[in-house]
Amino acid sequence: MMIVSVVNQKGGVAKTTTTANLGACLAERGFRTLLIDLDPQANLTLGLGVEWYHRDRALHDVLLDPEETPIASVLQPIGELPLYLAPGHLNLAEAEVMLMPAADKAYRLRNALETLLETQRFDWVLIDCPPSLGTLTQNGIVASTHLLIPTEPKYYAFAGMDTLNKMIVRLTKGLRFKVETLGVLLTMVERGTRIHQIISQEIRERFGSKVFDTVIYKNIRLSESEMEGKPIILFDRRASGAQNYEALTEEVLRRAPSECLPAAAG
Amino acid sequence: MRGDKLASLRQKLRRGTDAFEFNALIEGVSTLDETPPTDGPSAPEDAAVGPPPAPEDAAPPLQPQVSQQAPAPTAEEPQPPVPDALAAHSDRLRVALDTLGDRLIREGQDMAAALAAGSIEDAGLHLAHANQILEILHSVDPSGDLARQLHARCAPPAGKTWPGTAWSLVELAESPLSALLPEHAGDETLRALLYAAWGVSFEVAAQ
Repeated sequence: MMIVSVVNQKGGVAKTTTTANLGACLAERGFRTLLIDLDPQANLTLGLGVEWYHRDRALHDVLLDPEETPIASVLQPIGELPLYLAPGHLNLAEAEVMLMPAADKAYRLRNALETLLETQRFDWVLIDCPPSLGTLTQNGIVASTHLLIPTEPKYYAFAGMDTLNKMIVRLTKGLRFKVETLGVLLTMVERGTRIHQIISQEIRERFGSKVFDTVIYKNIRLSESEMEGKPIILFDRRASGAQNYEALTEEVLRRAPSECLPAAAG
Repeated sequence: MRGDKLASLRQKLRRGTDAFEFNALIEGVSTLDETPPTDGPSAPEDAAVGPPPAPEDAAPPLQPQVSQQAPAPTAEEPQPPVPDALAAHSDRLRVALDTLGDRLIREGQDMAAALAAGSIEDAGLHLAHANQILEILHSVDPSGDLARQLHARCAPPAGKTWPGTAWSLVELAESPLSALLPEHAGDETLRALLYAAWGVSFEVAAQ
């Protein structure tokens, strides 16, 4: 099983879009896929057409008291696919504060997932991390086997990844976890923009094979699909955004260690 | 774009990014085989390095966009109504934001006190914690609108958002936290402060 945090402390780099659409593409290929919305802004939840504010229980309850609220109790199926969502909620902000004094605060999500996976099978877990390096993001990283780092081809992308690198090094000083980068994903790329080409090339030189060959180009249909509360493949399969995420899915499956995936999805 | 301009852009980009490190991202990390620290999970991060007692006059109040006063709505600045669904949670959320704001101010004051006492390591610890709080605030309420709607004590003034984090010299210079630095602090002190902040681990082993 693969547990992948989609992480970058910079906002607006398509973390949520990538989580939703990669998750849907994996589910469509028959993989049982769980999406976790760890962002208090709950955009993944909203983007999949799930209302968060009327819910009695959501992810913050799981993190604060996993015995009272096991993660299984908050899961919500998405459409007809084998796709499930642990919805986010504004109260995750409160949870982040309340977790501050807890010694095990960075392990809450990992422990909750371990309990879930004792009774339910998931092939892929994708975690949409908030745009920060706080306790919630640390929970995502510590719970993960892999990181997927979306980034825009802009100059500050380097500084952002340097900061993320430092944060992970810092976490290794006190936490027990193992994680590696599944890939760096260039997102929101504008076709024909020379500066994007140059910076993309530089990112590929610095990160080598860690950078996905697939690039996610700017595509208005992606934004429209979010407004409709649907992944792009269910909204407009012919859109270039859908084709980009299909290609990314194939590449992600090629990169995933074979021992982490079921012999045949279904 | 002309070729020579492109080449110059490439060079500039490379110079600017040469100092960055990506090893952990490229190679991955694992601490699963390491022996866990002996102080165990009960050692709270804040107790690890206690700040020196703050002299009363050593800690100027933090006066950033994160003001101590909750900006009350005025006739000139009508506040958007809080949606019903949000209202159900507003009290708890406001308390959370207030707690963060109070803690941010305390961390700033503690940083100033530590700097005044010449303890760069302690000051770095408090700067790192202040940055962590700012990251949370930006994550939860990127525009500051929510804090204003909820009348949180620490809400930024109308039209402003939370101060940015200060992980680099430039960011520190632009941050309201810079008002807390000693008057004659040189580059060397500031670099030492930032390096100390970078070295702070927020976590303790719990498993």
